[in-house]
Amino acid sequence: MQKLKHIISTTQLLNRPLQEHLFASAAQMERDDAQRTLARPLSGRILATIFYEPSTRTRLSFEAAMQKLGGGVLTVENARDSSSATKGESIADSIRVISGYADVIALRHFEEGTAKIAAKMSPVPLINAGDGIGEHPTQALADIYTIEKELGGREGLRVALVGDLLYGRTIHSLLPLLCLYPGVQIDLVSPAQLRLPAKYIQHLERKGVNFRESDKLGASIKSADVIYVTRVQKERFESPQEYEAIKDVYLIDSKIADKLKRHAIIMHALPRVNEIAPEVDSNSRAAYFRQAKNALYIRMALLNYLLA
Amino acid sequence: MSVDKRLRIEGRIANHDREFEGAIEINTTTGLIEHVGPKEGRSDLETEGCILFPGFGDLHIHAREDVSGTQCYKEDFVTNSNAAIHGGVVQVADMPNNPVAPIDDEKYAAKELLTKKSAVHVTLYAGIGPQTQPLHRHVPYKAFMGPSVGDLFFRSQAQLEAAIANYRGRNVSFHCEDPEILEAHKHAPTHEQKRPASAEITATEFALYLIEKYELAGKLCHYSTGDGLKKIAAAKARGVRVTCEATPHHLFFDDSMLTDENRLWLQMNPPLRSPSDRVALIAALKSGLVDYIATDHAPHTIEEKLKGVSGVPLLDTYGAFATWLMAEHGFTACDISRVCAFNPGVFVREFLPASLGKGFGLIAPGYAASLTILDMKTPYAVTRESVKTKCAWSPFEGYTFPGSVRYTVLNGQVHQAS
Repeated sequence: MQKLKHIISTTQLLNRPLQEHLFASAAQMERDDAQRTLARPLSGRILATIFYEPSTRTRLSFEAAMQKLGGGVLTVENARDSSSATKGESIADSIRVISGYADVIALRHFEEGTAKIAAKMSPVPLINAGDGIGEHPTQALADIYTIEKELGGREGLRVALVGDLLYGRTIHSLLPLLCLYPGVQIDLVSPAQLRLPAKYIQHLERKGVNFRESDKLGASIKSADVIYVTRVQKERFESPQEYEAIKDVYLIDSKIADKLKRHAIIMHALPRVNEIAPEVDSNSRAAYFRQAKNALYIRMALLNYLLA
Repeated sequence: MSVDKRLRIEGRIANHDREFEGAIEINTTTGLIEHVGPKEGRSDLETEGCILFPGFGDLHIHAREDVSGTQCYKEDFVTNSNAAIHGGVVQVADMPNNPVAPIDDEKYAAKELLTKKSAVHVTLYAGIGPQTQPLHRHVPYKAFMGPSVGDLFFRSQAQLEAAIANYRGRNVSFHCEDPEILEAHKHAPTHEQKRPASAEITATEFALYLIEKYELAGKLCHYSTGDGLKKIAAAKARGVRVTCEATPHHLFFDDSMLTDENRLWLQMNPPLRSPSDRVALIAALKSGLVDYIATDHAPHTIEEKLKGVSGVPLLDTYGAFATWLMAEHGFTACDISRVCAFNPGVFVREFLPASLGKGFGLIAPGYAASLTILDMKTPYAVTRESVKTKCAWSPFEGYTFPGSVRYTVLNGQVHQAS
């Protein structure tokens, strides 16, 4: 298989041998990290994290990943306001200049498709760290890694995707990977105004995936192996009343968590606001903090793959 | 061109997460499961009245064999494997407290060579002693707190911590009995009083402290006390990476059942506890707080038992014991699959050779075609003659389990259990 230069879309990661390579590498890095025996294969290399949209934890996760591998970090936190973008510099110029300083770039942008355009300009590997309502491929890979680690990769997995499926890019990136599991069944649970966009529905239909849409969590609670919750964001609604009316309809509290199958896991890309009650955190099914930690090791594996 | 051989088994399948009627297609050349699908009414094995489980795994056994060979009179890897197959166990993890203990790369590799004659897969723990260092290979470790065979034990918490500090981030299992509390009670009248519950509870606190501080993947062995379970629950809720074993004997017997006749036979470390401890342990196994049924299979000869040596052999009865949990304590087939197959499979996965595919613990494509097929309708009356362990006795002699093992399938090879 040809080595990838950039990581722009999940569609590049549908290759099972590549996934398995990255998962094994992430597992090894997790062990080495706990043992404090991590090698420093990226010593002297530099990652630039260019974030045109705030995302503290994704940025910190990339930067921690790079530093744990011995590399250095250049960071632009509010590129939209603080960088040359305010002076009217194009993203193309920014990437060209920054790639002169850095060996790899992680780009977060507010506009769908920017990562793809930027990658075309970039002589160094570029990783899409989220582009608008488009994709977030490293998150999706970390999510699949978490599912495999916790449940074993297997046939007939039942996954409930809950919350904002219209704008939730983690969901959009995750779907093509989920479709790789034979016999996967997907419950799409969202308010009517936040349903999964038609192009993703068509993708599921093309792949022959068994899915059902609902605006109620009810039926999924007893059947799901994975409940993946996304944040319903206030700014997505036309009026505050509309938001208030549905913001808590999918609240996962202890009562619901305890009704899930014993082995089921609750995932969330974080930050959460009030989709999951804090009381659920100590439930063994709460996988979201482990998921966040897994994302660190997946990013380490990816950086090492792209640069080593 | 050679054609891969196939084996097809239909029946009621129980993974840890669902139970269903289905068919398992096995490639007996690779020894892996190729496909799991619907029944078609053609099965190479008769499974009427049976449940098909992913192969059971026993994470805590003492097969006794090492390069010295000095304990092979009570068990070796061949007889151990026979006892495992008889009990429906497809993979075991062997403890390191041998006369020649596997404590470094060389001794570990030498012991590993001996396991080649075992039909069931053997994972070896490496020992941690006051003077040892981690191996270069990725292996699981075992730390004995209290006195054990050889030099693999510690006299104090401080000595143990000094050793564990070298094992940061490793996979370490703990025998939780505090050596100082054992020392203070050594003149007590009975075995149970010599090794009180407080020894386990104190050691548990210390093991959890070490697991958290040194970021270990920790496991607490042969857990026996109800009060200690609460501490494990609190640690798990905090996100500490700790799992926990329970033995058939601590789940089946308690100290109220001891008589002058059975006292010597039911002597083990940690000892039998009170009825309330036993009830708590069963509840914890069912709720998921206790992760594994692991036997602490400890073969000693009849002569040794009569002299008061601690430990009981339990591999032969592993599968039958699972049917007791179902019949007597309402465990579902999924519960059994979780504590006997899935969780043990997860534990050993990272230590397995690539030839075993995705490893053990699930009936799904890519996993080892190793199955435990329990006959839920044919009881097993345990007799001394029926067991395969070399030490040739069982603490369950005279007891009749409600079900039995009909077949044990090892990497696509079918073994009739009886």
